Amino acid sequence: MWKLIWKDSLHYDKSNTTTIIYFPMLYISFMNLFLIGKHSEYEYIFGLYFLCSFVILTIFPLKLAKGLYLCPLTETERKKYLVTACTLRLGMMMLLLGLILMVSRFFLEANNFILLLQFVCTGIIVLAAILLSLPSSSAADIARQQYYLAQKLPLPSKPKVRQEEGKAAIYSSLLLITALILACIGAILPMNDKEFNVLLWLYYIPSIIVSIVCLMVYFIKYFDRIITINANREGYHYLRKKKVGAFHAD
Amino acid sequence: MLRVEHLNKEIMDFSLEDVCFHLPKGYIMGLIGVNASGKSTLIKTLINIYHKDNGKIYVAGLSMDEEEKTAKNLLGIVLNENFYELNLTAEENAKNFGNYFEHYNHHDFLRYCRQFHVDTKKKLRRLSKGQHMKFQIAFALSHSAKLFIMDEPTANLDQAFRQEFMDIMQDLIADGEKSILLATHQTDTLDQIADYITLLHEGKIVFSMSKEILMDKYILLSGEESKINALPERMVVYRENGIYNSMALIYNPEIEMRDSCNRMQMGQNDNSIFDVFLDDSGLILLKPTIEEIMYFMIKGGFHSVETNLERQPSL
Repeated sequence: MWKLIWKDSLHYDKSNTTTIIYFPMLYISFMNLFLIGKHSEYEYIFGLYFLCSFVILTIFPLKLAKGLYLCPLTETERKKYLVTACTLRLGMMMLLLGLILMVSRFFLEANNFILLLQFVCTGIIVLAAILLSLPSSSAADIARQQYYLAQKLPLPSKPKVRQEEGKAAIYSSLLLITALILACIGAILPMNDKEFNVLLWLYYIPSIIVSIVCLMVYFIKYFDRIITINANREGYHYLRKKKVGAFHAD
Repeated sequence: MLRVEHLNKEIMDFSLEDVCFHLPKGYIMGLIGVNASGKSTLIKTLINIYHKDNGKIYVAGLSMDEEEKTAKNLLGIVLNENFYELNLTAEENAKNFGNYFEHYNHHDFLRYCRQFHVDTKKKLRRLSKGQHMKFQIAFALSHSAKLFIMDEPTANLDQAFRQEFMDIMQDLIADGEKSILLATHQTDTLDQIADYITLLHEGKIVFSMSKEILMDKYILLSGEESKINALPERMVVYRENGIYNSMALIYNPEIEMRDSCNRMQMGQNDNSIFDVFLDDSGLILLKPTIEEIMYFMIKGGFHSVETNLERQPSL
């Protein structure tokens, strides 16, 4: 399974549009890092790490290898594959981050405690970004609605279900975005400090607790539902075909 | 080998409605229908890419609901749409996906690839469409598939490959242990190799029966418009009047007369149909091809669904 996940994760998916949200973020980060103002080496290294992480998430999305739908796997096994893929991606990104922080420790003489805090905060950012890159049920529904609009067909309405799915998608995204923003501030705050300012605990303690709570609520309430949708070929099919029509039978 | 009972699936603005058929072991079934008739949807629903709304699917007696994993081990799937990793070689694809099959044998895969002249060291994206199909067949054979489900395998491929493909399929079922469900709208292939024909139209089964019965059941008449128009309405599936020639697909009166129920309905006067085309009326009696049957039935509409499901013992 690991080998297939690794090979498949390097498979560039040009039809992927679910992570398009990252492009404005990448653009702003790039402008901020290289064109606006002067930055320390440490900021450049960190900036590059984030740029690389988001580019990887954007062009190599987490998804089930299509061929697996033809293999004798149950839905539970397909879900396990996706969870493993997420774990592998997180593991690799954290490993890369660890290496960067170690380099910073030895060559840029950064403070150990600040590095540890940045490792935790960046870990939360990466985890939230990976989870946000998984298409939610509403993404599938939006694709479906776009198709119906293009075909000028009335939507086969199950408004209650759609409303609930939409709500779930919004709440789950909000949880992740909250964790992401808090962790981003946490990673940036002590960026160029040589010593840790004790007053920063006033920010770190509540922000890390809130981030962890957000992630826990996400995992308990929404993670299984979103993984199930991603392990379901139908949802995937709608997403891939959304530009030309979600469905064709010939 | 494959039994489908009252299968329903609604997807977007299209639905499969009450699909029932049975494919016995050792035979080839052609699944035919015009574009957008639901063939690909049915195939994807059969292999659980689409989740059915209700109904039952059995593969070798195994339910796709309760024993999906075991049943999928017996499926060899050959699709027109690519499902494999294009950036990996044929061999790497087989190794990676073969790991999930209980009876996958890599040596067998390499042997079949040699037999079908598939270069296993080439990336899938570099294989021709024909070679890609052969790769899928070799892969299916290497995990000891018993039921081959193929969706438009010869679409857009040349005649030489189609002939080769037919030979491969006939070899596949030679041992009497394997079956093939072949969805296509190129019915000339099926004229030669299919044992059963299932016609799907707008998501509904029009008929599903043995090819022999089907070919006996209908007659194609060709001749003058007036003669064609004079045929008893009850016997005509559809008539088409052209500028130079008119044609009609009719129920074979001999077969119809054999059916006692029909005989009662037809009455004595319907014997006159024989006279219409057996005397020197000028009508030419032709044996229709599968394509002609499909064309006339779809044009003429259909009033009853005929499937072979009722004739098979229940699982």
